[in-house]
Amino acid sequence: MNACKNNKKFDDLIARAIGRDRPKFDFDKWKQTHKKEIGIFESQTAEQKISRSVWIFGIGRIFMKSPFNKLAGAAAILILAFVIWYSMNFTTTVYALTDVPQIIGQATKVIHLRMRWFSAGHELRQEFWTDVDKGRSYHYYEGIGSEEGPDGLQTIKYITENVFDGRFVMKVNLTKKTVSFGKLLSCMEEPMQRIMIDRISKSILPDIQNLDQYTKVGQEHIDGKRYDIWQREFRLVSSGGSRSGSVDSEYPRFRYEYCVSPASGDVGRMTYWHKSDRLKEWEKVVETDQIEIDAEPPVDIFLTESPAGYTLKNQKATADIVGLHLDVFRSIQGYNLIAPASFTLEDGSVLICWCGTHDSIGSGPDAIYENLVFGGDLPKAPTELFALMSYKDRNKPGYNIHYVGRHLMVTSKADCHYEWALYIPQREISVEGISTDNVAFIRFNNPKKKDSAQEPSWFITSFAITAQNFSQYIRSAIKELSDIQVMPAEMAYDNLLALAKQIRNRTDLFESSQKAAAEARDHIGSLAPVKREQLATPEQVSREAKKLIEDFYTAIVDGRNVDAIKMLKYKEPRASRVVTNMKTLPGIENIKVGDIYATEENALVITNEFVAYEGKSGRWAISVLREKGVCLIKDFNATSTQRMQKEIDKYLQQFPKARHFPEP
Amino acid sequence: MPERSEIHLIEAAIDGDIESFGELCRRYYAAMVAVGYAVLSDHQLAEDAAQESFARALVRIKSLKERAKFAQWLAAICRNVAKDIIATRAKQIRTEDISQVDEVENHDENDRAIRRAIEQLPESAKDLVVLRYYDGLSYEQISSILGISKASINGRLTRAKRKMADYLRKNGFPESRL
Repeated sequence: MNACKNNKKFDDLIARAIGRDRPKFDFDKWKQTHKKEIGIFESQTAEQKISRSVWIFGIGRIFMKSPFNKLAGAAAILILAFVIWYSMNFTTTVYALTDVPQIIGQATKVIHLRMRWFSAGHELRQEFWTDVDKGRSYHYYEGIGSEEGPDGLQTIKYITENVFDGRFVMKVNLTKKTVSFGKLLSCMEEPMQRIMIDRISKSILPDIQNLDQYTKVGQEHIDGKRYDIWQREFRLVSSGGSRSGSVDSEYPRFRYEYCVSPASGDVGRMTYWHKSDRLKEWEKVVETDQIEIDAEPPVDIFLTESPAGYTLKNQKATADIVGLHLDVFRSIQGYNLIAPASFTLEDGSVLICWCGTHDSIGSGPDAIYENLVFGGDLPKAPTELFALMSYKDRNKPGYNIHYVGRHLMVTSKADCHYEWALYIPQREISVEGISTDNVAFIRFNNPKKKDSAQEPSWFITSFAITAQNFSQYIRSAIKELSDIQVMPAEMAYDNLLALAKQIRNRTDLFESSQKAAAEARDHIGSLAPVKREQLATPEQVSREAKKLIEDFYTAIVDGRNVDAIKMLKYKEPRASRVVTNMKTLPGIENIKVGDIYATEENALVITNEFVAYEGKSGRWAISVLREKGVCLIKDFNATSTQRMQKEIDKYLQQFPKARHFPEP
Repeated sequence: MPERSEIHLIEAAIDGDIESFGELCRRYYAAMVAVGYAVLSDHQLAEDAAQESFARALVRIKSLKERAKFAQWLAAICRNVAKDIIATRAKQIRTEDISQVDEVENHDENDRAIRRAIEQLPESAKDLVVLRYYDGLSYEQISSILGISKASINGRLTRAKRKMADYLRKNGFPESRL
C-alpha cells in the first residue's frame, strides 16, 4: 500500500475521523474546579520559599528534617541568640561579641521559645526547650504536608515532637501516633553535649557581629511596655552552579525585626518577614510570642519514654544510629544515609564515617566495598556522600570551598558497610571553635534504578579533634561500628594530614567533584545583607522625594539641564526631551510640592495647582522610585485637580500600605 | 507583550507562579487532549483526562528535574490519567453502554473504520497518529511530547499509516478512498 505515504486524501480521512475543532482551555474555570490542587501547590510554594531562605541562616540542624523545620529551627536559634545577648549585655554592643559563646555556655540553663509560623494561609505553632547545660532538647512542631487520600492528594496538618535526652532521640508523630528512636554512638555523646552549646553560639555569631548594622525604625508598645524596633534586611543570593549560574538579585527580600526594650533589654517580639518582589507587601513568616531565659521546663520533658498507645517503629535497642545532627537522611525514592561519626582535623579536612543504603538492596553487594584503595575513590554505595561544601562561606558566590571525598577504610557491622572517608578542602582551613558545619552532597547509585538525583539536603556537623585525642575517638567509634574492632595502622592522624596535602594538589579531582555537585549547588540559596543606605522608612523616602522634586524644578528654572536629567530615571533621548519640554511650561517657577504618599521604596508626589498653557491649570502626580539608596523621578503625570484623586487611588491600590504625608 | 519562552514559564511555575502554569496548560491543552484521545478514543473523556493531568502536574511540578522534558513528562501523566479513566469506567459501565454511546455520536461508517484502524495500532504509533492528525502538531512539537527525534517521526508515521491502510483494505474499506 504505497498510496498512504504523502497521500493527502488519506491524511484528510484520518484527520476527519479523529479530529474536531481545536479544544479550548479556560484556566480560570479550571482553577475553580481544582482548588484542592492549587492549595497544595501554594503550600508547596510556601515551603519552597521558606526552605530556600533557610540556607541563609545556616543555623541549627538538630530538628531540621523537613524544610519547615529548617526555617523554624533557624529562626528559633537566631532568636535564642538575641535573647541571650540582649539579656546579658544589652547596653554594650561590642563588648559581648567575642564572649557570647562563653556566656551562653556558662550562664544559660534552659531556654524556652514559643513561636507561630505562617504557610499558605495556615497558622502553625512551634515550641523549643533547649537545655544547653545538659545537652538536651525538646521540639514541638506543627507542619503542613500533602498525602494521598481517598480523593487523591490532600493537604494535611501534622504534628511532631523530637526529644533528645543526651543519648537517644525520640521522634514522635502525634498525627499518626508513631514513635521511632535514634541514638548517638557513646563516643559521640560528649562531643554532642559540647556542640549543642557551640552550635547555638557559633551559628548566631555572624549576625550578632553585625548588630551595629541593624537600624532602629520606630517604637512600639507590647503589653504596655515600650520597645524599640530594630530591623535588618537581606536579599537572596545563591552559590551559583551549572544550571542558572549565580543568582544575585534585589528580590526576594527577607527581614529580621526585633522589638527590644530600651529599659531592660528584654526582647518582646521577633519577626521574620519575606517579600517576593518590589510590588508585593511584606509577609510575616515566623513570629515568636514567648521567650523565657533560664525557664523551668515541664517535668520529664526531656524523657524519651514512648507515650502509651503509640506504635513503635523501632525500639531503643534497635534505634537508628545518628550523628551530631541527630537525624537520618531519607529520600522518597528509598535512599538512606547515616553518618554516625564525623570529625574535623586541624587542616580543615573532615573525617566522616557513613553508611549509604537503599531500601531494596541495603548497603549493596560486598563487591562494592572490595578492592578500595586508601586515598582512592569512594565506594559506589547505593547512597553516596560524595562531596562537601563549606557552610561558613556560602554567601560568597564562586568562593565556596569544595571538599573532595577520598576513601580511607571500610568497617562492617550488622549487615551494614561503613565507609570511612576523608573530605579534603581545596585549601587548608583553620578550625574555629569546636565544630564545623558542611553541606553534604549526596548521590544515588542504585544499579537497579536510574535515580541519579543529588541533593544538598543535608548538613554534617563535625567535632574538632586533634592529634592527641584522635585515637581515642576513632578507636572508640571503630569499636562500635565494626565486627573486627581493629584500628588499621593507616588510620593515623599524621597519615590523614599527609593524604590531604597530597590530594590538595590534584586539581583534576576537585574539578570533577565540583562538576558532579554543580546541579545540587544551584539550589542552595543564601542571604546577603542589604546595605543600610539602601533602606529607608516611608518618612525618609517622602523627605528625599520632596527634595528631589524641588531640586529638579530648581535645576530646570536655573537652566541646569544636565543636573535635571540626572534626576530622571528615563533614558536618553527621552530624558533630554522631558527636560526641554518642562522648561517651556509657563508656570514652571511656581511649582511646589504638596501631598506625598510614600512606601519604603517609592513615592507619589503631588504638586500644587499651577497655571500652564492657555490659562489652564493642573497638577503633577510624580512617581519617585528609590533604588540602591537613591531616589529618581520615574514618571510625570499631569492631570486636573478634580481627577487627581483617581491617580492617588490608583497608587494606593498598588501600595495599600503607603503612608500619606500631607502638605505641611 | 512578547510571548514568554516555555522554559521561562516552567521555571516560573516551579517557583510558584500559578499563572505561568496556566499558560503552559493553555499551550498544551490540545496536545494533551490528543494524548488522552489516543488512549480513550472519546473526545469528552480525553478533555477530562487532559484537565486531570494538569491537576496532577500542578502538585508534582516542583519535583520536575529536567525542564526540557516538560512536555514529555506532562504527556506521560496524561496517558496515565487516561488509563486510570479506562480502568474506572471498566468497573462502572458495561460494554453495551459504550457501544450505545458510540451510536449516539452518529459518525459515518468511514470515520468509524478509520478509528478502528487507529485502535489496532501499537500504543506508540497510535500516539503519533493522533497527535499529528488531532491537533495538527508540527514534528518539532510531537518530538518534544513523545521524546523521539523529528527524523524518526516521519518514518514511524509512514509505517503507521501503512499499517492502517492494510487493516482498512483487509476490512473492505474501498481502495479508491485510500
